[in-house]
Amino acid sequence: MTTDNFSFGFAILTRLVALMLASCALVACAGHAPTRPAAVVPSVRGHGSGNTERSEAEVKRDLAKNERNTLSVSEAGYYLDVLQARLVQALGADVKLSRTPDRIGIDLAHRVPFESRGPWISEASCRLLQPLASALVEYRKTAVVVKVGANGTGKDAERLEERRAHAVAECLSRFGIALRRIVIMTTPSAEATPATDVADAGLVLDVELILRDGKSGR
Amino acid sequence: MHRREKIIIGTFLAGLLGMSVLFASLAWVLWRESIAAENAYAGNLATTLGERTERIIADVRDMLATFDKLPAQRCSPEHLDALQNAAVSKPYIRGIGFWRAAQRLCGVGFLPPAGIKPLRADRIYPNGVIAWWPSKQTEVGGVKLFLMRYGDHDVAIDPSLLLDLGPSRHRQAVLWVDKLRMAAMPPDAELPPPGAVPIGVTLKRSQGVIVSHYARDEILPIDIVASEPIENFWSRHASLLTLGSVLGLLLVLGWTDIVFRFSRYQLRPATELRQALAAHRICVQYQPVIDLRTGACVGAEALARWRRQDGGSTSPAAFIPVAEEAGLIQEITLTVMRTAIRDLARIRREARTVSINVNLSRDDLRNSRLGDALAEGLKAEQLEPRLIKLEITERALVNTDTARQLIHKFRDRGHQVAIDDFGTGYSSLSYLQSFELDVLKIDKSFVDAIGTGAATSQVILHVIEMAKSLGLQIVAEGVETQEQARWLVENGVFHAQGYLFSRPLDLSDFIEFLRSRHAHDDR
Repeated sequence: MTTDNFSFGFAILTRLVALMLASCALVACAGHAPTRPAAVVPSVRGHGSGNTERSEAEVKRDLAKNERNTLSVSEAGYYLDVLQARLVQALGADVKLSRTPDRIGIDLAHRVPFESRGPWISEASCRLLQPLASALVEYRKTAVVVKVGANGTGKDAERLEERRAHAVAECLSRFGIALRRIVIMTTPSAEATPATDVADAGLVLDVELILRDGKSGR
Repeated sequence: MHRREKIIIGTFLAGLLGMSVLFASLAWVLWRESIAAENAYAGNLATTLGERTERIIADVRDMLATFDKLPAQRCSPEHLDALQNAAVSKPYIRGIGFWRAAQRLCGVGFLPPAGIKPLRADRIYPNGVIAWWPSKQTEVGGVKLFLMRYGDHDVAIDPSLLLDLGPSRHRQAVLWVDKLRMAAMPPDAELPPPGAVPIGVTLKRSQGVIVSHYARDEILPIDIVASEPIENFWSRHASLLTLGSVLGLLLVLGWTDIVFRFSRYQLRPATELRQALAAHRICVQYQPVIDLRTGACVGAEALARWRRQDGGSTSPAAFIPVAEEAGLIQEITLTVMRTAIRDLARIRREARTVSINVNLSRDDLRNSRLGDALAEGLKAEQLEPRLIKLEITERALVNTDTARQLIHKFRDRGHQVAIDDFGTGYSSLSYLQSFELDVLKIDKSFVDAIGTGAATSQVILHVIEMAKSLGLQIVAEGVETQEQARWLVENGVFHAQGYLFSRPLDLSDFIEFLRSRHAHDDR
């Protein structure tokens, strides 16, 4: 056996070990319920600051680099119309939708409950998001902004919001939505108050069009 | 104006009025019925078109929902076949497309391959169906299309094919969606916009059209304005109008018949006589009976007179036969009798011995009604029965038990009974003998023959002889000359009446006559 052969064998071995470890990690993750925040995280931006807008724009700009993922402004109306109808079809007529020229807000509060004592969502809650995710997979010329409320302020609350948003993002990604399309928005921390760990914290998804040249109807 | 003329004019006016009212009523009813039918019909035209449009939209919506469940692989021949079959089965569909998000991947029909992407949906239904009303953005080949999408499929509908107006070439219809004119049939149809026409049916006589308007906003905000010429109205209701005309004619004929029957009835003498009786226009005149030996007035014959409204009078010779035929004669006798009894009270103040003769008819001898009334009347006026003498014509003297009994009763009560107009019948001596009579009145025709040398001039002698042989008093009627009077006295007839002495007189004149006679006697 030569040195080259040894080096090659070692390299194969390390890759196999790495692969096994990764597989173990994946199996562990998949078998673990409820869902915990993923190791691969979406873009996380603070909510409500000037920095946030810029960051969201950056995400959309990144997505717009692929021409196939973008829309011209003239198509925006039609795209949002059919998307809105698709969301109604997927979520039912009683879903609360809000609409602007380049965005549809989906209020999922009380529809997708979080675990009461943790930052994750149950498998059952995750499955509730499947029809929505399926629709959003089809309408890929959009960015999905996840907003979670934790009924509190301060670092703890912010951390809880973020972790829950991560859980939602992870769930959506499991149903085919690329993580790069998902933006998590959190409320920047203010004075420290304990987070109230309630299960039905607000969950809003904003589906925003990715327009060519960064144009927006807003 | 005479009654007859009044009746004729009244009849004419009633007929005319009746005909007018009947025709007007019938025309009004027919018109109302026709309008109601037309409302329903014309309303149905717009409603039918509107409901058909809504049904189509609902059908398409339901059909779209089934496409997403098709098992065939998308854009495979099987998938396209299914879409093609659906498009062919509904002639108003111009195309069906399969989409992924906003990209049309395949489809059937006559649409651009990239499909149609209007800027903004007009309606998103709760089940997720999207609808775009026809507009410039949905125009393909000059036709503004309806678009509907559900899930991954959309359908384009030609709205002009929704307006199926049937075989009539004169109808027009315009489809409005969201107050925008979307389709018209025929394409150049000129109809007012929905805002200018009330919902329902409007009859525009000046334009000769019936306009209907259907409006609803359930499946889509739809207005349909339809019109058709009013000539169709008449042709459609021809059978009803014909039936109405025939019915009207029959009614008018019936009415006319009733009016003319009534008129004829009114014009009948019997009816007139009945009305005259009710109106107390049957009066009594008195023709004095004179004692030829003394010239004194010993009585009078009460004669019925019919005074007409126009002041004229009708002769008893004319109306008595009518009264007998109509069964009114007894009423006339009663009227004369009651008048005579009433007048007798006044007459007796001038001459206490004067009696009044009342004529009886054949009908009066059929029952006791007259006798009873006579008795009551005399009793009421406290008059003696002998003051009323009863005259029965020779022809009325029917040989029945009833008549005989009645005459007997009259005489028993104290009335004298005279046979009137003797000689005009065929009574024989033996026939007269069978009745209880007191007086014989020689008919005027025999008196007229006195001194003329005619064959009948000798008959009066036999009549006088016969009366004498029967022990009857004799009164000669129709004495007009002194010669006749003298001859009668010479032949034993001492009582007479006639124009020689006096014409029939009204009560006041008769009383005046009595006074003059008594004064004459006094002298």
